Amino acid sequence: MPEGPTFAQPDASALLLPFAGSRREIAEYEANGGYDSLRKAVGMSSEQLVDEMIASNLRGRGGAGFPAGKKASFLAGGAERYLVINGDESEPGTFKDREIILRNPHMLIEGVLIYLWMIRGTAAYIYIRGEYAKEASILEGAIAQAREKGYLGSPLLGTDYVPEVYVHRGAGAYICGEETALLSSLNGERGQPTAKPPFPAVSGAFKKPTLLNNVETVATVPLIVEMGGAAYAGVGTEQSTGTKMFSLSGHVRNPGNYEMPLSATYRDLIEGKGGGMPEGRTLKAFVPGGSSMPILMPNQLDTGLAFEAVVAAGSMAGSGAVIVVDDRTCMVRFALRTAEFYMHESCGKCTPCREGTRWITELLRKLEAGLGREEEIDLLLDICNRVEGNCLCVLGDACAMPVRSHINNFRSEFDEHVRLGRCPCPDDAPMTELYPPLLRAPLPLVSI
Amino acid sequence: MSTTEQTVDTVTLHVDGREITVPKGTSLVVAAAEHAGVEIPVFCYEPRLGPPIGACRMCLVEIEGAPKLQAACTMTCNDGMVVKTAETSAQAKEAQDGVLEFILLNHPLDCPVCDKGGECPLQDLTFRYGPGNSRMTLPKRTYEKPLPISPSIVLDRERCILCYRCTRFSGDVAEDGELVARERGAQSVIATFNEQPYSNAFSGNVTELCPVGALLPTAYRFKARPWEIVNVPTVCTGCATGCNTWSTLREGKVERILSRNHPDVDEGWLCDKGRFARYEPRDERISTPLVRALTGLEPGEWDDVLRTMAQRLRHFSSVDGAGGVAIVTGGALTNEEALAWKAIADSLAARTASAPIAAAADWDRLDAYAAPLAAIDLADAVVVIGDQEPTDRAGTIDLRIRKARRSGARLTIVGPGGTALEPDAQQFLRTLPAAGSAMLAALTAAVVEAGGANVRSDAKTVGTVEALAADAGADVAQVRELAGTLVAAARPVLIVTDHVAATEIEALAWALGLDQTDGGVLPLPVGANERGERAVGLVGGWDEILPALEAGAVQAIVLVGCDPVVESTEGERWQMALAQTEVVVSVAAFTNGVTSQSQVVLPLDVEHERDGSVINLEGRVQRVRPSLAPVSGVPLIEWTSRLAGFLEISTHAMSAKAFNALAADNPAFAGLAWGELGDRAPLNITRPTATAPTAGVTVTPPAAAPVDGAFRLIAPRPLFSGASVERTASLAHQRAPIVVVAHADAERLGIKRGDDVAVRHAVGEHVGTARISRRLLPGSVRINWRGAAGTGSTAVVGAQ
Amino acid sequence: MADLYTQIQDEIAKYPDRRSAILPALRHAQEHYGWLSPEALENVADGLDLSPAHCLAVASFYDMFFLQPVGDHVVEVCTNLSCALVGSDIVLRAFEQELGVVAPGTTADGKVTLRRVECLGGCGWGPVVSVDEEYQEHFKTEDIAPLISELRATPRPSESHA
Repeated sequence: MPEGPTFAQPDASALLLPFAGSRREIAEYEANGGYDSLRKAVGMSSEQLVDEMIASNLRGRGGAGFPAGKKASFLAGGAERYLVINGDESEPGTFKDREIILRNPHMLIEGVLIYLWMIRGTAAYIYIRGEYAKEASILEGAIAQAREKGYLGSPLLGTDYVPEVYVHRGAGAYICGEETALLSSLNGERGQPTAKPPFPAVSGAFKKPTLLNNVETVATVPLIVEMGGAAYAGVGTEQSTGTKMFSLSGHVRNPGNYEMPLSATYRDLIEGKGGGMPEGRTLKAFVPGGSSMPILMPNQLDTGLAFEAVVAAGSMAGSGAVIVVDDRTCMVRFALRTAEFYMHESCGKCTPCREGTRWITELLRKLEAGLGREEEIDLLLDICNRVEGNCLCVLGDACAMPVRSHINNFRSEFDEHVRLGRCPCPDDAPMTELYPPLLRAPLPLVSI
Repeated sequence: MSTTEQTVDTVTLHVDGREITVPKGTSLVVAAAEHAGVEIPVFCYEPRLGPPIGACRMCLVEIEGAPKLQAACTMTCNDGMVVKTAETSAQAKEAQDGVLEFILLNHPLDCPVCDKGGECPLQDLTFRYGPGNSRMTLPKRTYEKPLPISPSIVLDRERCILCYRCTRFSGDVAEDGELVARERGAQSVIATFNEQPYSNAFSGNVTELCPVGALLPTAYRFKARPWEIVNVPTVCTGCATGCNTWSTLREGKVERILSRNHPDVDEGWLCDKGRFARYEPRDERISTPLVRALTGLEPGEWDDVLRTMAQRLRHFSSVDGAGGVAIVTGGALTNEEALAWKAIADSLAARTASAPIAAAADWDRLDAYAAPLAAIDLADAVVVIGDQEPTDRAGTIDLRIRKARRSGARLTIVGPGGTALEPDAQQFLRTLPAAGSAMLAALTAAVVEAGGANVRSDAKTVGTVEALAADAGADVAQVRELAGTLVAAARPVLIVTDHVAATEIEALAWALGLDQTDGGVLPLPVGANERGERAVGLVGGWDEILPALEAGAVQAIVLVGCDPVVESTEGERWQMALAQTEVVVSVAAFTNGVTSQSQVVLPLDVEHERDGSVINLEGRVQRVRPSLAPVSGVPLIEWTSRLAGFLEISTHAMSAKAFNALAADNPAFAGLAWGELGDRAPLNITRPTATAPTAGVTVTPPAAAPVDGAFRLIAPRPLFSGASVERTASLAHQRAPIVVVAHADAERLGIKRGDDVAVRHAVGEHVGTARISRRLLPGSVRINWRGAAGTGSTAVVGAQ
Repeated sequence: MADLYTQIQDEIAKYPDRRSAILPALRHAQEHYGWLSPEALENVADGLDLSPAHCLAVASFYDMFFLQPVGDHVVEVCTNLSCALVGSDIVLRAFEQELGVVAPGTTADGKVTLRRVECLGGCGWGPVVSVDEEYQEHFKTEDIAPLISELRATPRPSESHA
């Protein structure tokens, strides 16, 4: 049988996963101080908790990096309010939330309960991507244990507040990681984004005020309560506090998830933790924050992992998924595989994304097949420009930004495909296949 | 009615350098167009479909301070906002060019053969905006086409630009959820479930909402070009709602009906009966006077027939004193035609009847509580009582009720179950079939019991809540819950869909003091112009004529545009009574249940052939205009006047004169003038002061439970019935026979969804497709019989 | 197996609005029927009191719902960037040769459906292959033959649960 996931060894800076192996049993979690933060939080008022969150300057770990404390303060009042945890982790290259759930599910549940208490939420729904079947059942098991221990489903620790937590499984749609799409999906609609306003803080889950946070963000909250916001803010950089999970994959000796202080650099991650490139390969480029982000070049390895540092380098930290690409890799194929994904995942609601991702993909496929024309490379750039910033949500941008960056950084490779009328890459280059479009079931003919 | 004083907050903003001040909350698209004179092009934006969705991205604009372009449709105007549209912003222009290029990327550009050509928003906006060329060199997406999504609508998926207007209509307005987008991304297509026809009663609206030629009415395909047609403004007389329409005329034929949005009446929606039903084929119409001969009905000369008819009527009017003649109508006449028949009835001292049940059509009693259709929009509680879907009596009212619920009104459905409004109603109060009378009395008792400042202290009850609820077969706690809703509501609207005496509704309305609220009672007439016929004096009910006919007291009867054999619940009795009546004259469009028993049959004028006015269920006087000449060549109002001449009286042969006569001395028409009957007619009535009900209420409890495993039948007359519907092929799916069986009964009888099930009832046998309802009262069965088979009577159900 | 209608009502109880139970309801139906046949969708619609078309619209939006019959076992190979960089294309090609089908496809004996899928979230442990919703990571071509023979010998997962 193939091996399961191999978890990276923690080091001294790890806060979320400061141990080897996993702590799925509540007894084990409690023996290590688990649910103490919840007890501490119950002794605090909502305002105090929000203040601690603001003091921690914790930025959302889902991709956008919005300050979590500020977000909590936006939540509208009302008798019914919900907490939704975004565990739809689907950005290619990202597998960090999965590891948190696999190894430390109670830390997430404790974070959920603290958040719920903070907003006196009616209930919390953990939206976990459908493919994570095992992870969903681990979470269900952990919730059952917490329920048995009286942390939820009954008055919380001597208060009259009754928290309730449910696991809601997705069913395979990347777009449901986008907050409004996730809410559409949770509300029983097709998982399509909706226009804002109304913002989720006013009308979200079940059309009620809703606070939405990423799994990692929520799992960090017990730490903040335990350490105090100010102490947490002492880790990392001024604008990007704390530690964050980074998912390292691709052409690197030791891929896996690494928890890094946000003051570290990509070199620390790729060469330090990841052990650098495999024997005989050199670094061609690296994706700094999930496949939707503009790619960075080897001379940018010393870029900091902090949100602001990546922006300064011309890209974004996104979900923290770092994909390392070696010198054999064809960047046209890389761009095509990237674009194909976003075409497949486009929800189809808004025009530029639906039509643009398909057009970009088809042109890249033509180019990789050796049938492209010089002007089509410029056309690609122009289509990217017309998609980016003009869509209902950021999925269109997620296709346009990397494709544009691949063309701009590796223009000569694209030109070479046109000039030779074929892909110039060696036979052992990765991504051997030029797949036909990944289609869903063919449509039956309709006759009435 | 009280009106609240409102001061409108305004905001001032700049659009393309023009300063405008608009009410706060105005949509940016609307503000730009109406206040700044700047068109922001849109495809998906349609306020009637609910909140904007920002999908097509055609309306991208630059807003100062925003990091990227914004979809104007999703923006409301804010104070100090500085907006630059594509007119003045290079960035917005570039984006707009891009969006239009994307929209057209896979569009076939087959305008020359597309029926939408010439009246197509996509064509128009492509002409006015966008780059004018395409850089698309790859093969376009292709689909099988055209696909019929029902017998009345075809879908062309290649032309579709996925603006989602149609699916929003289905999901968010009609709430049927039958027309959907399936798949995802560039593969998304509009579809129905499992190739089933889109059968919502309002399906045709999607053909008007579609901004391209993707959804077209089948009957209009390849029929006409926009420059060859004339659109005549008129009003639908398919039911008493009075939806405003355009009839599209080409070479002497009505090819299409479009909505002509009257916000207070129809909000731009039509039902499929109003849109698709036609009195065709014309050559099957009764087009000349017909006289019974040994060989059957034979054509006669107008004057001969009318003269003989006058003599016979005159004869029977004087044989046994007054009342030997009956003039029976059913809402099919215009006010002006009805006025002539009223004069004839008077001259013959004839009995009249214009509604199936006289007591139920006694609208005058309810005038003090009358609510206009628009009151539903503002209601905080809407209660629908009866076995029948409100839609069956008043097509588009269903959409307004749903809209009210979405805007926060508490919706209660009271009846035996198995109707379309139940799933999302806040309360479903199940009763026995035909329990409207007992239910109203129970509610009145519960309201009086609840008491409080909103309940009149002198309100009378006819029994205890418990006893009356038991009569109705309703749960007493639920009755009290509903009474609580009604008492607490500031603007409740009560809609009664069954034949219930007006006095019974009046008792509840008085107890609740509905006359003091902006809510009220919305009675639903059976006939389209039943209110108009009553207003000119053709009062009375078929139920009063029938016993007189059976007793021989009426020996001559004229049935004008009605067919009690099919349309009443007493069809069999009518048939037998007519068979023994000396003189039966019918005025009909096609041969029907009464023409076969008539000695004389005269041609009826139908929609699009009549010039006149009608009164809708609210009391709104509206103008109907002809597109076609009557099939007989002689307008009904004209030959009626000739008949009157033979009776030695005079009636108006021209609608204009008849109308002005009505305006002069009939309060329902006071202040109106023929020439000024507008295209968006106002509601010109005021509520009289309510007075305590004088007539006592006698509760008619539902019939006793049937024995021997028989079912209680629920068979009110469906919307999709009548001479025009039965002849319109594209409505076949809408009138397809259905049998709704309660889940428990289905389990017991082994009936599955989709099975053919036979229901034998007093009037005949109905074989339909089974639908299983978990709300329908077990032991009852609901069918969409073409006529009124009655409700509360018994039926036998068996699998085919 | 529990009655689908009852299962759906249990799911509805977790949410303030019945519509929200549609994904779990569809998942239960797929377990019952193996795929979301028209009958399955109609029963989901019945359980949720929604239209079958809405259930279809939602089901067809998500990759994990099958609107056509599938084999007893579903094997999914991720070919997104991270897995592709470490050889998932080779794994998929080997699967195709071993099974004699082109993805997406089902073996003639109806035992195995092979699909190419997008990122499964095992990027550091690729290539990732999902077998009946269970991940197998660091997947190598030599793992294929034993896996296939095991699958051919095992009944459909929902049957083995029952």
